[in-house]
Amino acid sequence: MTAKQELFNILDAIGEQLDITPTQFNNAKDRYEAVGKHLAEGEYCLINKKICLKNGEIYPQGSIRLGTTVKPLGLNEFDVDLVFFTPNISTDDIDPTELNRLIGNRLRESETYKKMMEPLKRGWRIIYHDEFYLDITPSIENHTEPYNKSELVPDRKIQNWKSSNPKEYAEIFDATALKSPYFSITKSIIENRASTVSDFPENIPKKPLLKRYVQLFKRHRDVMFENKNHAPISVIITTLAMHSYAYCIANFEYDNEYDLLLAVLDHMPAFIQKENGKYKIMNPTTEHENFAERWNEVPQKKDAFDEWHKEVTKFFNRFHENMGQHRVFEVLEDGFGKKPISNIANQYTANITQRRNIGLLATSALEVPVKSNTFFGKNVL
Amino acid sequence: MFYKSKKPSFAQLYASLALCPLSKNGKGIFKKNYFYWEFDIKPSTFSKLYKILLIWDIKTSSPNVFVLDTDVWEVAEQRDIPHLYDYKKIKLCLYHPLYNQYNRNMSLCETIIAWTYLWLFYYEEWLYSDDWKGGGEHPKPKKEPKKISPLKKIRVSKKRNKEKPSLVDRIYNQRKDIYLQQMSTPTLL
Repeated sequence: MTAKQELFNILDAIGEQLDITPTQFNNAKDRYEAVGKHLAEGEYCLINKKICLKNGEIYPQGSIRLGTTVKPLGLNEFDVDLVFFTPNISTDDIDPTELNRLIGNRLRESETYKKMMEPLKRGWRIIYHDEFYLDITPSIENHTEPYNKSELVPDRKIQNWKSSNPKEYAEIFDATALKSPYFSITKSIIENRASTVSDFPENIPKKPLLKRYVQLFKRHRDVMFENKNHAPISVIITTLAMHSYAYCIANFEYDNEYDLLLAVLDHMPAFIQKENGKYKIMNPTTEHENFAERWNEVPQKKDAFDEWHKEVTKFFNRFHENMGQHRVFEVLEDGFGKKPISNIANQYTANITQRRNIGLLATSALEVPVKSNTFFGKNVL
Repeated sequence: MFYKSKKPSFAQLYASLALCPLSKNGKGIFKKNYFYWEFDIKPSTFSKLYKILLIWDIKTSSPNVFVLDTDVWEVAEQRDIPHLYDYKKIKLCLYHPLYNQYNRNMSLCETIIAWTYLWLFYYEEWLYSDDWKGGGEHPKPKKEPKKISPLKKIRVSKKRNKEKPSLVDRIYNQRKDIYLQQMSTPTLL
């Protein structure tokens, strides 16, 4: 295995550490489905109108839906972003504040949720301590774009509705992630390298590459902006990575997953558009949602993105073959934080010790028998 | 295969180093009363390449293994590297002398050389975690890493310098000088 392949294995294992576990995910799903059921059973109708929460549908959006969740820094709770879609309502019927109030009232009718809920700017949060936050945003039908599945969600100031399309966004993201890159077959030139012990335990990738990349980029962002403002928002990182990934795999061939990661990162800024002095990163699934809208109001946000992109590029280029295993872990800690890396390092060492215990000195080139020994030593002086 | 009851000769031990897949990249010198073998080890994909010097004095029952590496010497000045006989020379303590883990009838490759690999692997891990994960025993387990004052270090090394250097020490010093010369000579492109 080449150093780059091994590095990607380590990165992949880090991503796995940061991910929500299947058990956590299933728990979250059970919980939000129960919330959705509770909301949809409510007899909350506005007088003279057929505005009801009835027949509403709850569904996940954002990282939980995309498979790009990242364990939050210093918190135990994952964010589970949800949309509560209420059909048969138009913008003339209700404004976002009112619909939010309606949802809040219905939640309060449950003795359970009553104690766990907290208002959000654009919806409600239900807190499951040490597990997750269920963040619910209301949405209604978007009659102006009948040709897609877009919906209307409250805008940032919750005064108006704006279009969004979490469902189709997730569909195209998934479809892009499922496109496999073509890796040129490169034989590792073992003969020219000193034989090495201990390749990282090869894990079978459990996640499409694009999703893993997005996770890693977001984690680097979280660590870099832990005490700083204007962190680039996830949807911007995700959208640019998606475009860049599609472009890279359609046009080029790479040797390995790590080289592709570098290329995806490198091409991300090329998908930021600028029209009449305004930055644009459009939601590809609805007409009027510009993810970079805030960059045009707060220029520091664009600067912060540029700064992050420079840093994350520098970070992923800090690895080289003879740097020392300890340096690999130290550099990884700089980018991703201490905790996931010490777990990975322990796993890595345990793998070598396990093979040693069955009498094998594992090297990437060959496995050599090793007899049992007890490291000894005098006192230092 | 037939059972060999005969103890391997000194020359056979030397020759085995050139056959061992882990040390065959090296070279050495064989003399009547000693041999040495110098080779490179890279214990894992991202590891540094370490120069290893194995010296065997025919009058002794086992070889001496040293790491010739400026980085390791530097670390030894600041931290207590575990499982060493000599922190200045980085002489490795690879097995417990009382547990019958090594004798010269055994394959050098599967013992001393493979253990050197493991030592270096755990050494790099220890650099990162400050926790020696390779197991082993120290005659006097230390809870807190003892800080050696630089003065004490100098005193001890001066004391040692007064003693007449052993055969192993002489060869070690020779090889170390050559290593240092090579380090300071710029590599031609």
